[in-house]
Amino acid sequence: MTTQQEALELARGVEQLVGERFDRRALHAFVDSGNLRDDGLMAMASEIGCFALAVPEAQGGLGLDPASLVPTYQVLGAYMAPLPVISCALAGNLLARAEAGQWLARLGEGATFAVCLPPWSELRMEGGDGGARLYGALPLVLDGADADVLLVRAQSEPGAVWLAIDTKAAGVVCTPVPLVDETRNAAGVDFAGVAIPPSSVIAEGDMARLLDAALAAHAALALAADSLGGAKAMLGKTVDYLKVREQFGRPIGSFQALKHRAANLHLKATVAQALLDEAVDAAHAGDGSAAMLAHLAFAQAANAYAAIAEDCLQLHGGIGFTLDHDAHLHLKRAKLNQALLDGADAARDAAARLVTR
Amino acid sequence: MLDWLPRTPKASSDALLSLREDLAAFRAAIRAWIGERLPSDWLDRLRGADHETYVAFQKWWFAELSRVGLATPHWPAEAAGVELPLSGQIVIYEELARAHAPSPTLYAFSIYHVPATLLHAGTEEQRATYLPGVQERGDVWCQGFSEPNAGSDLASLRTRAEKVEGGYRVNGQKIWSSNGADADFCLLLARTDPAAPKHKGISYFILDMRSEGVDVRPIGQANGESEFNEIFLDDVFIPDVGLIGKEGEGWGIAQATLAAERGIIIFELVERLRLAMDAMLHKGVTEEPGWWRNDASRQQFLTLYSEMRGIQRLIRQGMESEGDPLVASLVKVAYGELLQRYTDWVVRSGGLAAQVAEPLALGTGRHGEMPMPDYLSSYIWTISGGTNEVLRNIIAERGLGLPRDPVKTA
Repeated sequence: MTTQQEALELARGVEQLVGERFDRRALHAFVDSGNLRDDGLMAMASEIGCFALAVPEAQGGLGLDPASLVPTYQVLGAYMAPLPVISCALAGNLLARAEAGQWLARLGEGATFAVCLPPWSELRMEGGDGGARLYGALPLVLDGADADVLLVRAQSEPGAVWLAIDTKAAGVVCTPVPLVDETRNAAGVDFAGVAIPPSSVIAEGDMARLLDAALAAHAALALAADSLGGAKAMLGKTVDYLKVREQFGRPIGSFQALKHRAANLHLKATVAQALLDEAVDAAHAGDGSAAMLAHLAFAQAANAYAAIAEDCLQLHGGIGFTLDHDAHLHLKRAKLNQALLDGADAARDAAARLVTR
Repeated sequence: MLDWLPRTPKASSDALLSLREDLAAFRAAIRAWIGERLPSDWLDRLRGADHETYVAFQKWWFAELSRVGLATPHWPAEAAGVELPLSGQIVIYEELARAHAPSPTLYAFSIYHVPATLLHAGTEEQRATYLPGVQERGDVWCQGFSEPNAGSDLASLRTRAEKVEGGYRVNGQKIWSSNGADADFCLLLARTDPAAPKHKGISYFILDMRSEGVDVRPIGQANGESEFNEIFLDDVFIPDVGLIGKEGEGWGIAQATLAAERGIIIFELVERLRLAMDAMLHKGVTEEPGWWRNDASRQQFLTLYSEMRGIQRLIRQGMESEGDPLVASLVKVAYGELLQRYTDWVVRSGGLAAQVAEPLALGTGRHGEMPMPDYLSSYIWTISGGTNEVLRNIIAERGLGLPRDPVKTA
């Protein structure tokens, strides 16, 4: 069986479980509850290994690379499932690259991780020889509000380092940051001279730079997939609505003004998906352009998601503006995705820097 | 007139195609062949040349391509083609584009629409007569579909073909026929049964353009060319053997013709656009011109570039899945509008210099090499072959299953 087939099967399995146990009624109940997580969904996801997808098999995971996770990210985006799957996979992939066995084992055992995404805030690691300490603040770490471990990037005297920090460690202050997108959580984190034992330093020097690039590309792929999952789900619901909602004695989807908008949105989603597929294939093939395409795919997909969510709310009319509808959830997720990784323009510039000269 | 071109040898050669199993060798051989046959300054020599020179040049180039089997590599075996797989076709298009070699624009209908139509509905005799005619004689074909009052609503066409002894007598007017002035034959739609519902009364014919009563008049176009023509048909006789399919089946067969227009032609064009935009990207990265240093302009380019990569993948996938008509419609809309926005971007980044009129090289460029002419020419792709507005209806109705407009259609 090829990796791509495995990737699709995994996504189908996740879809079945999430679809069965967490329908839109459950999603809305979760959002209304104001809780950080849905305990039942978290337990199920943990049980089937959703947080260890990128952890190597030796440490109890599935050992999947970023490209193979794309179909699963897409499914979770479609369901707006409030799970830290992307964060844990980003962490798993980083730790696996850095061969940080101790932390991988923790992830494999069910701990949840959050990763600080680019653009990186300035954290400082000062001192050394067993006496290193971490100073600084991260204003917003996605999935940080309930994470057990944070992976952060800091500057030390010789250069950038990647650190794994237990959120319970002395000197770490994690404060939940309320997000407009209530399907996800975030935290602001202060590091007031947190002691950094050598076991917390997972990468430095060339390896740290390699992790920077790998994380940026993986996050771009993941958020592109998340965006397209959401975009296509919202568009599908909207097209269904246009077929049944009647005004002036006919389905509103028979009016060309709305029909053409639906066609435009379909086109936008289709082209963005093709670009993501291109990026995934390049990654599977180990092509030198894979990272560049991942960044471009994120920019296209995040903007497509926002455009589709906006238009789909409008196409539903008044009902689309209600709290009970999914439209606002998608719109809020789309706007958060658009703001992550410093947005589409920064992603395109990141791609431009990766063009072979 | 074209004494700077090498004379095309009579004997055909399979030296290039014999290498097709080894794509690297195939690519190298094509590159060498282009270098040997095509004068590198062909484009400059054609600038400002008249229509006759353009036609003569196209005929020379098509003969060159035909001689080595590169004119119709996509033709299936049943059309005596080599049925080159997609990977091989891509190599050809890439190498032609890399060398800025001319597209055989005069032959677009000959190499794409004619086989799509005849293999779908033509008789053995029609295939045996007209397909080799393209490959061996370089027959130029045009299409007689649209009429002054049958544009987007093509099925309301009124050109009449009346049954007479041994054939049909045709009267009417066609418009927007590309290459009509230079064509040997025409793929013609005409109404054989005015009493039938409008989609059912149409038949499909092969019209010999040298027939008596055929009058072709070129149309001046916004881009300075006159590729399109009006065709007036005054008591033109078409023999029975010129009917494709049965009487009344014309509409269905026309869909096969149009699928070619929205599919394989765009496939080649997107491959060319890819190379043009790759070159632009490379120029941005290495030379950092003004547009690259300007944030808004660079972002616009990278967005257009991203769309192009997505569309290129879509059309490649579409070709592999045997031309899903819906993918073809999607790609046609996406490509036409991308080309328009990209060439518009090229014009705007070119500033005033791009507004200076330069002598045209007819039928060349199209992907930003000549900013204003290419930008103007992009409207060909948003209007012809089904306007993008009509195609949006198709995407919404057939693709998304939205209800049809309740306007009476017949």
